[in-house]
Amino acid sequence: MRSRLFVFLLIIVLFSNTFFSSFRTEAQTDDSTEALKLKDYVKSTFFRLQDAERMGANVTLPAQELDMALQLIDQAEGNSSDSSLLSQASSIIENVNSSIPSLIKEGESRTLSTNVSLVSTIAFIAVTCAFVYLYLPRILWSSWAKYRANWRVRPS
Amino acid sequence: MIDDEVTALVLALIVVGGMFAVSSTLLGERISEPFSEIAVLGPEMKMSDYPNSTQVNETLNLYLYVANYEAQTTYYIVYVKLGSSNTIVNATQPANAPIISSYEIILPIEQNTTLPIKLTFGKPMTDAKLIFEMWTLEKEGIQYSGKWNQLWLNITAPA
Repeated sequence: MRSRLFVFLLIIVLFSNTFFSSFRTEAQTDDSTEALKLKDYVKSTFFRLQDAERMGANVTLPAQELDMALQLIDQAEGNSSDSSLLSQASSIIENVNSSIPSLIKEGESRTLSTNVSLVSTIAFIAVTCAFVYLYLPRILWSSWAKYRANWRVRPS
Repeated sequence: MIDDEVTALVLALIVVGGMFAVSSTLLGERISEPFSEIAVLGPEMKMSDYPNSTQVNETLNLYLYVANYEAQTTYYIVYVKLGSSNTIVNATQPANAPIISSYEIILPIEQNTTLPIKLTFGKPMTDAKLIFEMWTLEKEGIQYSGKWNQLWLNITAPA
């Protein structure tokens, strides 16, 4: 009777251990899959940031945030896929992703103002050059003549 | 009425000032020769005191320095590979050796970072070549940047 009870308890312990370990393994697999998914999300967000940068956006801060998310994912991977780290990383990536349209708008207006200032500077230089070319000799020689107005020519 | 000499002087100053303005606007923030940097630093975070031996299962502490002067935000992947003295690595050919660790870093323009790295080795090896290869993530996939560092190591069995 006692040995039967012992076998029964042993089976229960073995069964529960197998059940819980399989459950834990499944949870870990889910987390590592989550980490992989997040890395893919980081990569797609990075490409969007690069596109925004080409349109003139200043992406220094969001790129640093994205790097932080990447480091959190790496930490989570080395820490049995810590789900709190992964959720932090996820919210950072989400924030960066949602800020991209406004960054693009900002970048476009910055590019426009840069182009306007560039064109106006070039126009200013061109006008200045034309002015110098047309009037500088006249000003120079008239001031030369004015400076020597009181000179007297002495017969040798 | 402004004196003519003063006018001439002002015009000359405008021309010189205008040339400076144009040159700074046109050339100011442009990176003419884009490049990236990778360096391995010793345990004291300096380019010295590199370990030349370690034991199996002992943690080797080093630092990895990466800098971005590529004129665009860049996604770097640094592969740490363990090769032998016969392993070939150069600017065009990455090492054909097993990857023992990898580090992913996103760096904005003109920024750098230094990461602590911890490496352990599973078996003893004489004249092991610890190779640090820099790769970048592009839309077409990852590409070898042609930049690498290496460290010679003797991995000994635990006493």
